[in-house]
Amino acid sequence: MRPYPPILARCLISLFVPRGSARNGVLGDLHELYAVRRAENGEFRADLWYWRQAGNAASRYAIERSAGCFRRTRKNDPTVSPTTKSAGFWETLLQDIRFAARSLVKAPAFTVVSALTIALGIGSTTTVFSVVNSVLLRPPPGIQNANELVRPHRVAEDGSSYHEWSYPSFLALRDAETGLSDIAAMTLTAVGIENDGAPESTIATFVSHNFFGLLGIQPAIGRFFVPEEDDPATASLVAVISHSLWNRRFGGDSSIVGGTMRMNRHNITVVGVAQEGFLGPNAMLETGVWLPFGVAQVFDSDHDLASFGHTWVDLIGRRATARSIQQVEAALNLVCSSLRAAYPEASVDYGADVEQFGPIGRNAFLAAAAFSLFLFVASGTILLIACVNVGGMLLSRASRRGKEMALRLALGARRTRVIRQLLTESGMLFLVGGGGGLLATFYATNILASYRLPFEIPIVLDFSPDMRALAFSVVTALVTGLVFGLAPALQVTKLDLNTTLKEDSLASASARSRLRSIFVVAQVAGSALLLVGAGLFARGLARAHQVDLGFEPEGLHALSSELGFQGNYTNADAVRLFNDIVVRATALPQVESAGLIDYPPVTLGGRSTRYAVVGREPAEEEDRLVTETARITPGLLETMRIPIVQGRAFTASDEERAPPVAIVNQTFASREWPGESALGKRIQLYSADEPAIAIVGVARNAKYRSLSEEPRPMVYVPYEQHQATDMVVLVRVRPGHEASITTAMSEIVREVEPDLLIDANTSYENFMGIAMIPSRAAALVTSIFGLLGLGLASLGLYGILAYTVGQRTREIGIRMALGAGRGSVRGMVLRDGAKLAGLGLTVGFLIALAVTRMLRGLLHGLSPTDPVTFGGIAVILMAVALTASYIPARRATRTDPIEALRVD
Amino acid sequence: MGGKTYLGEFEHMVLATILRLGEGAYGTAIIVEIERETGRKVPSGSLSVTLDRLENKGHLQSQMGKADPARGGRPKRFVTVTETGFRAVRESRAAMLNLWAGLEPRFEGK
Repeated sequence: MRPYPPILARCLISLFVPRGSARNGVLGDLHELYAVRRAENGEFRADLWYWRQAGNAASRYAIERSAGCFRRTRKNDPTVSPTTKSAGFWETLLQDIRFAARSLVKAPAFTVVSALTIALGIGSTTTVFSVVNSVLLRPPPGIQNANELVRPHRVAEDGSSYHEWSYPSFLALRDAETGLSDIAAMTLTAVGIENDGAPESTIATFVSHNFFGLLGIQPAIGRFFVPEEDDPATASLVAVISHSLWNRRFGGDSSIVGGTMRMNRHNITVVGVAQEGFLGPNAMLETGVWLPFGVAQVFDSDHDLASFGHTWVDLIGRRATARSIQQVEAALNLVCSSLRAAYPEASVDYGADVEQFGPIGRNAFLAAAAFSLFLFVASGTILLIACVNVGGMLLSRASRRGKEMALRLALGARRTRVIRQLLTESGMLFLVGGGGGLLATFYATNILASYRLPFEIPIVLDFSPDMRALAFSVVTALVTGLVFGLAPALQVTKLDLNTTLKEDSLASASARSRLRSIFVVAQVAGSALLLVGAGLFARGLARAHQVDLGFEPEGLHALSSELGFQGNYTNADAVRLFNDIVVRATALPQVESAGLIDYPPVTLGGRSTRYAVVGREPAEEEDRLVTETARITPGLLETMRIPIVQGRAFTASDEERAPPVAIVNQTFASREWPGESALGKRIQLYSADEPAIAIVGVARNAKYRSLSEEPRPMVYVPYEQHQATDMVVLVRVRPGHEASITTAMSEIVREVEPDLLIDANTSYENFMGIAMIPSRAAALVTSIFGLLGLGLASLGLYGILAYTVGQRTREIGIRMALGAGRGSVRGMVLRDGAKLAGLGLTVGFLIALAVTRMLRGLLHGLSPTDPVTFGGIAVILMAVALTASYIPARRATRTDPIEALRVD
Repeated sequence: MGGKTYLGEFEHMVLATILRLGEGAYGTAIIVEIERETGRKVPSGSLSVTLDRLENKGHLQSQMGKADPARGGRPKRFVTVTETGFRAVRESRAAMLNLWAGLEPRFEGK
């Protein structure tokens, strides 16, 4: 239950009620009364009541404040007031602000519409900024002085790829003088927690004992690790658990310290609970269990703490005061080269590349940065359209106030002074809009953070705006306010006093209409860009559903479990266990057939390996060809409905001791033996030392990694001959039994191995959904931004065009008085509108062509220059522009010419 | 400025209620008391604006209490009527009583 009243309503109160006694009084009183109402009338009615109260408080104080302004400054217009000459900067600013507030309040419709428009623009950019900030910029919670932290990466000899370090290298780096005050090691893995209740998988991180101290994290209760626990010889099985795991799994009971927890079939002593909110060194990914390096071998016997060749640890360091990243990097490289000299036979790590600590790793950072850029382009375009809208409104408003401005200038105000006053006005308008945008951001980020992935990964999404996001929105508001306020302000103060006081001057009017034309073109271009993005993604997604996968995902059910992460399972254990599950599943009445595969197709995974054809000249190491491979059981291809086009499928006799066999796909066969049969040919996988494998069948092509891929070569090998611990069970369900299969499968698992952790137990189409997340997210985002942009641009176009036609009423009157027909006058207005819209479309499409090329990977084979999308959007935008100019044109031609001439 | 300025009706009501409540007068208590005695629902914002105004005129003094979890961590704003405030209520009351004098029988009976 949410004990607090609606946050936005509270923000509204805070925005208007002055801080101190009044705000404390109002918020506190309402909080008390809200609690009573909520208990009596329920949450909804209490919320409603609270909103009314908030509205009342806001409006009362708004009136009170503006009345106060009037009372205190019952002076003349500040721009011409003689006192301004001696007034200081701040005093003048204050006067300008008061005057601007009054003039905005005097035009409520204009103020509200433009502030809402700005709020949309700034809200969407601030939302994007908040998300990007929390993913890429903001240090994960709890970490102290993150700006001093660095991540040293091991860099390969060619300097291009980044890797983990070996544990002895870490020790050497730690003991050397490197300009780091401290350096810690960490390695991520996954574990299963088994005690009390359903087994649960969580992220575990091996850390050196100094890890927590380096980051500045305190234990909530108990202790962190001691130096002896880094060493396998002296370490006992101990763990520190995260605060949220402690609450979730152990009810926050402090007796857990010193107690045991069952994990990966080991009893582990919990020695401490980490500080509340601490997730680990990565944003979003939550580590549940912390383990000392001394116990790493217990969980995976492959982990070798003495070998230079086994590279598996990540490093994090804290710079000593006054040491730069470059100095640290040079010192680390020095240590590496002396290590290489000291241990020439051990393959010692090559060198170091030190970078500033960021909340996500280097590889993920690049992908995330690219997507962020795309989001910024989309939301920035919305902001641009919104600003252009408001710029247009400011211009119309300024034109209407031409005489007022001229009067002020005539009374002795300097031009700069008047411009400054107008800028204050637009700056204020944008600040109010920015405030609204920030409120919208609060809502939008809340909705985004409630998103859940369709599979179990301990991901923590916290996109809530922080001070940085606040600063971002304020700066954006001020900058856009000044830029889009400046043009109209310059225009309207550039007047010939004499003529303007009498009549609108033709010269300045034409300059203004040029500015308006630029606004129209910019809006059409911006919305064309957004709509092209949205259209391409939508059509790409639709296309994804029509792609021929080469197998039938409908009626297929998947169950996956990563035994490798649960420790203590040998390959033989896994084979026995998985085969048992397959046998039991096949016996179910709902099931036609079942099989195993290690990398199920189109689920964002896959394994490629090099291969050689036996009897051919072995190619140079780097020229050797690469193929996809997958381990499968005899029933798998039939279960997936991948037909064998030549030869045979695997059978039960292709077991461990039988001669090694493989099935290749059509692409592989035609690449290696064009025009020949592949049957009986022999290949070697992985390396030239491996035994030769005979090809016994050719299977039809399928998609393996993504829907948009070109046909790839594939080699299927029997699971029994290539054993592994991480397999996915696939089951072909008889039509009509889809509903009951999930429970039936989990019952089988419970019978076979009660502690087994299930990662996924769902239909194959859901399972494949993971692969679609990036393109679905992109499509959703661009559709929202596209519709928002289209709506704003239509409003803006109508506003600007209607105003322009309105300005031409006199001209139209003269034309009609001289005998021009209604049709020809309307045609003229429409032609002008169409010309501008056409120019905007051209500009927008040119930008779109440059941008969309980068999105090819998300389009499922749709061309980024898809003519249907571009054509459709041209038609839509043209129609909007023509409607926007037709309505005012009709109004103008209906007026009596005499009336039209009398206008003004 | 000429002549006396009398309290507004709502200001009068608020000051009288604060006097009735004595020591423990603060926002919620005032709202609840006014509603019980007069049936008038007072929005918190309106009350707060009025309290500010009365305080500016010197009719009230306010003092913050301790942070209170039942109020979402916000302290109470306790208010007491000052000497000036008391005089203002007395004058308003006297003015009202003068106006009412002689009219009572017409209202009492019905």
